[in-house]
Amino acid sequence: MSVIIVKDLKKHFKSVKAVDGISFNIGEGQIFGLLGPNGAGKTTSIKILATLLKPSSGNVTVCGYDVNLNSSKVRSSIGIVFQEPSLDVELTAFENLILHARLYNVPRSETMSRISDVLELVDLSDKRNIQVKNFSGGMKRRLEIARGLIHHPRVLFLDEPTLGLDPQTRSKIWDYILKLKKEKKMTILLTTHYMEEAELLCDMVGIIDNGKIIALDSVSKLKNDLKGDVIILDVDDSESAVKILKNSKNFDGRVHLSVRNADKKLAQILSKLSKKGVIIKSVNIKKPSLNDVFLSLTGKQIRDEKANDNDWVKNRMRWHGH
Amino acid sequence: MISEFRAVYGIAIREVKRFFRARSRVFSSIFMPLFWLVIFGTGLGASMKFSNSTFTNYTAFVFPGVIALNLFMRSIGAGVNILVDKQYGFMKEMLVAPISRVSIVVGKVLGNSFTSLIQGCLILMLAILFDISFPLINIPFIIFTMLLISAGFLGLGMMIATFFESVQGFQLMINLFVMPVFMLSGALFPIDNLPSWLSLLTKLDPLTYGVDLLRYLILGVSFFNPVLDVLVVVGFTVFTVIIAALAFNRRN
Repeated sequence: MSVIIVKDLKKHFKSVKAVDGISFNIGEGQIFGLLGPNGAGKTTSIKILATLLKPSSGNVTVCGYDVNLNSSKVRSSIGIVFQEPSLDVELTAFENLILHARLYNVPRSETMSRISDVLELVDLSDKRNIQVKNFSGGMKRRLEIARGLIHHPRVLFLDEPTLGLDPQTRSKIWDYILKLKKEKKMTILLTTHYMEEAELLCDMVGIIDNGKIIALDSVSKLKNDLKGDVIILDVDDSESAVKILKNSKNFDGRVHLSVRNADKKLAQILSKLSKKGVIIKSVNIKKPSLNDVFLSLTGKQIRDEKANDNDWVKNRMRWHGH
Repeated sequence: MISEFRAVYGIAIREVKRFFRARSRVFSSIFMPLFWLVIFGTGLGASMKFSNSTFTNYTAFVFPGVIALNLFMRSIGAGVNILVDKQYGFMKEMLVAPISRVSIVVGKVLGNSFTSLIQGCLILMLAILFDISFPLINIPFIIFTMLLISAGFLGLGMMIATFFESVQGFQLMINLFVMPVFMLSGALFPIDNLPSWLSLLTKLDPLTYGVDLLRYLILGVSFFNPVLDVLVVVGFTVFTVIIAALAFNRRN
């Protein structure tokens, strides 16, 4: 059964089409990733799903409730972690959590045990009574994830969950997300522009660009469909090797060969070469990344590294400021 | 419905906690009125004679006005915390919760009214220091009046805040607003012997009725019928809080 059904969703701000007719379903217990560059329409989509924005057209159903007709039911069945911090830094971790429990009318008798549970889940039990302004960026993120879980939502929205965090903290957040899936069977919708994040976490990926979903499938399927495996051979005589193998090229004495499913074809290729007397010194297989998928679909990189560096600094400041 | 009350309670508690965590704010809220009373009250009182004989002591006359001034300034200024919440992102946490927008406004109004009330009560205790006495039976009515004045101007402040995106813009607007409303309120001078144009302006100022009601309850003297004061103060409070809730609902 699908927890989230999005059908031909459109959202335009005046003349700008932020979301231009996207459709996808998310099954129970799945981690679904909306992957795309900044400004592709990810956050707008998530805001519509969370009833913070009204769609211009199309149908969106979350946990069986229509976002237009039943926004209050939608809100109580989702947990959300925004891209930008939304904690009250003057309050302690505990105070932020109990306020959330009150806003979502969590049964009084369960409030305290649920707060302890979620704090435990993100390893913040010992920081319970510390004001959030003393937290690091990663701790704030973890607390926000914990907060989003208190009212036992059926689905969790994570908008760029690791944006602006250092690599060590990122991998920790990833661990928590995978733990949620494994232990709580949580359905998760996350947006990201980090390829490795989508590859590691998501069962299904929707690649979004300019407000349109240009590919929608599992990560491995997307990569396999791409004729993107590259076999790199180091041989004694690259000139003749290139002549033997179709579609191969000689780069600095190394033979590069683009194939689909390199694992299966490798044996065949190697025996072909050795039959002709070419001695193979080493073999290297390069698998395509989601970035290559994105590149082949749109003809551009998902993000250029320079902009990303600035992003990182900006977001660090956002998380550590005030 | 019960869930809305719980949300209102949660939001109100948060406002109170935030107020008391900002130490400098608590500190200044006690000392500012003291300066007003000691320096302004004594200074001006030393050289001022009332033309009518109702008041003999200027500090006593200005005392209810100083209470009203503090409630008014703090309340209208507290509208800013809608913008601060937006700036620091916490507003989204409240907006995405399954509660009505009205509960957010009501929670903020209640929480901040409570802190204003605490501040008002602290100033009220200064009465002992200045030898101002009033029947103790009046205290519940004074407290109720202080709550109404606070809630009314909180509503107004929040309503104004919904029209602004930035803290700075809002504060500029409020500064423009605070002086005339305060000066026209009759907090500093009696309003019964004024030229007709000024008299009209004072009657248009909602704070005038709050000051008058407090003066009636504390000093036993008022310019208007206290029933009129009560009606205006209650009406103003209900009006601004409803308008603030509607404006906030529209903007978000």
